[in-house]
Amino acid sequence: MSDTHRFSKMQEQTPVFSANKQVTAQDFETQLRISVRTILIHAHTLLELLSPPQQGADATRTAMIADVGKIQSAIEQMRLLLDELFSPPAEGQTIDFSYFSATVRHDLRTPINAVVGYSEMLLEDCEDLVANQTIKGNIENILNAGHHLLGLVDALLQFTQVDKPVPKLEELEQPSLLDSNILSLHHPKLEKYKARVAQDETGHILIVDDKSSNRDLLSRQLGRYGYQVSQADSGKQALKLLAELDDIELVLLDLIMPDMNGYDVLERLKADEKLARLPVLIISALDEIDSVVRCIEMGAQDYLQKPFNPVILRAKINAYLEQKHLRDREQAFIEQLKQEQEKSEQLLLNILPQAIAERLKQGENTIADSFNEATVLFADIVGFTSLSSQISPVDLVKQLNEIFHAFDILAELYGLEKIKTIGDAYMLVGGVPTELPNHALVVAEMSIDMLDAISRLNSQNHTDYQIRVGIHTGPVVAGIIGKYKFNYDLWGDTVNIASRMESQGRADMIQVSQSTYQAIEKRFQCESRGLIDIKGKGKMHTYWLKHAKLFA
Amino acid sequence: MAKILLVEDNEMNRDMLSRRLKRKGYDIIMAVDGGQGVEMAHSEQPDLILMDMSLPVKDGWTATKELKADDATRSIPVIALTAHAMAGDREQALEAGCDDYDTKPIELPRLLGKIETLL
Repeated sequence: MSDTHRFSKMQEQTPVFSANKQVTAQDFETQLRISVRTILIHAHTLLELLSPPQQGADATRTAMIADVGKIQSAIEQMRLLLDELFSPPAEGQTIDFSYFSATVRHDLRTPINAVVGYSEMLLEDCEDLVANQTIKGNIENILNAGHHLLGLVDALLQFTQVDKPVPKLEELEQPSLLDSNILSLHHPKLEKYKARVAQDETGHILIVDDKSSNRDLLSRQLGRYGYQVSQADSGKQALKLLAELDDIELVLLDLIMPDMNGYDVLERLKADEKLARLPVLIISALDEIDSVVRCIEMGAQDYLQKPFNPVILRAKINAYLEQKHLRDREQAFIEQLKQEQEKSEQLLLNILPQAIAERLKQGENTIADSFNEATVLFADIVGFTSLSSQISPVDLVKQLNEIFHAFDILAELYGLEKIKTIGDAYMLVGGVPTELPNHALVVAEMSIDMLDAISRLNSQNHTDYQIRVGIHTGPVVAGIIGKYKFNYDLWGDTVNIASRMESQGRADMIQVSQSTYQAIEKRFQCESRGLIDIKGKGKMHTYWLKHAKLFA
Repeated sequence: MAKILLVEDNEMNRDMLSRRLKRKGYDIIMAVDGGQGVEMAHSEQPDLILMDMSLPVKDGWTATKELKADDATRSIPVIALTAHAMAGDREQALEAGCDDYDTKPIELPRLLGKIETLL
């Protein structure tokens, strides 16, 4: 059988390129890498298929596993050679065709021969093996890919031996023979991009690829562009690094990795609130277009096709980093806005009951709600006016603040609504705006605690404050009226009567009206004061609230 | 049983080819370079030699020339194996005195045919 015949047979079997297409080095690389990948995938599958010891030790299987391992190391060798062959030329350098040709001639065939030979042996072994069509199919696929590789290498040899002067980079008018690899930054059409990349975005990039050669190549290249680069050799390591390093701004992700593949990594990233926004570029080969589409659907930004065209690599990385930086700034702005909003909301809540604040936010201007029954309390500091002439106003306000602060805490604890302070008076309500079924009892409880609070503050500060407290239960209207300086307030006779209960009471005493008394008398010990003349109201029966009944 | 000397520097190729030939019932002995190949051809007197062409120390062409120049080994048929499917390789191999020539990757049935013809 003549050599020429063998060649033509090979090329008939595996049509390498369509006749009318201009062939480029990149076409070769793509095709070579596809075959390499195919072999790796099938070898991996084969190992899995062969590994589980089915019925005890099986000498054939063990031998086959060893041979698959040899295919793997051969193809790994092949991959390293391809990386070396097709590494993009450094700036100002051309591809050395004589070296290229020699390498192809001497080195590339050896691993392919091993692949072909071992897979043929494996096929023979299969005859001894309890029929397993899947195993056989995988081996046949490897064998076919091996033959395809041989065809490619033959074609590549002829391609590189085309007797044609190798154009110098500077003379290259437009990409022709070896477009992509020679299309470096010197191309005139790219001058305007040069201006752009001169102001590269900076950033920390994580490369995730199980192949160290790929990682090294990329990181060297990116390092030259001034990016900070970290590497992960597996999905797990990538996630670990991302958890540890918080300044990574872009991830270059390979899809096919052992253990945790690129999809898994992508899925985890997108499920992680903190990492979901991190731009991810998929590193892909031409035959992975479907996978790339899937990744982009899963949230990856874009893909970089192997072999990396340096210009596209740089442009894409720059673009996505720029986008990320813009988004970060936007995010920071939104965060700031949110904080400001929260601040003002908190302020609003300090002034208004939450339910009322919500209604105002929803656009209500005037709120005036009627309540059939609420309990209103007034407390006033006795002799405050005369006190104020004895100590400095600053100290006075400080002490007043301390007292009202204690009352505020109590009101919050009891779920009562502080309405306002008027000078030295403190006003609160129970049952408004949120309904409270036993508002009178709760307000009574609170009033006793207010007296306790005063005596505690007095002994603590060596002061001698006394308060008068008045309570009345009845219908009120509550709400907000007016245009500005909003204040949630109460209106109605009930408010006036409660105020009178306080103003016409005594120091250190709690005076309650008839209606309040009726609501609390089962639980609180009260003492009748009898009928007193309430200004503007006439005679009213009032009570002194003493203390809670112990066994009520 | 025919004894074949396989002269091949690449471990994988050696392992692969020797095992496949053993399976077919041949007795296989191996050398890793041209020098060792010549020595073993003398000491072992194989029935046939499979000679890789690109070998370290002493390449396949030189080794074959030496074997064919020596009365003690001249009659041993040599099949040249080469990874180079380049025009000219075949002529070079035949000129060195090889009895036949085959290219890698080995197509076993084809190689077996050539071996049987020469034995």
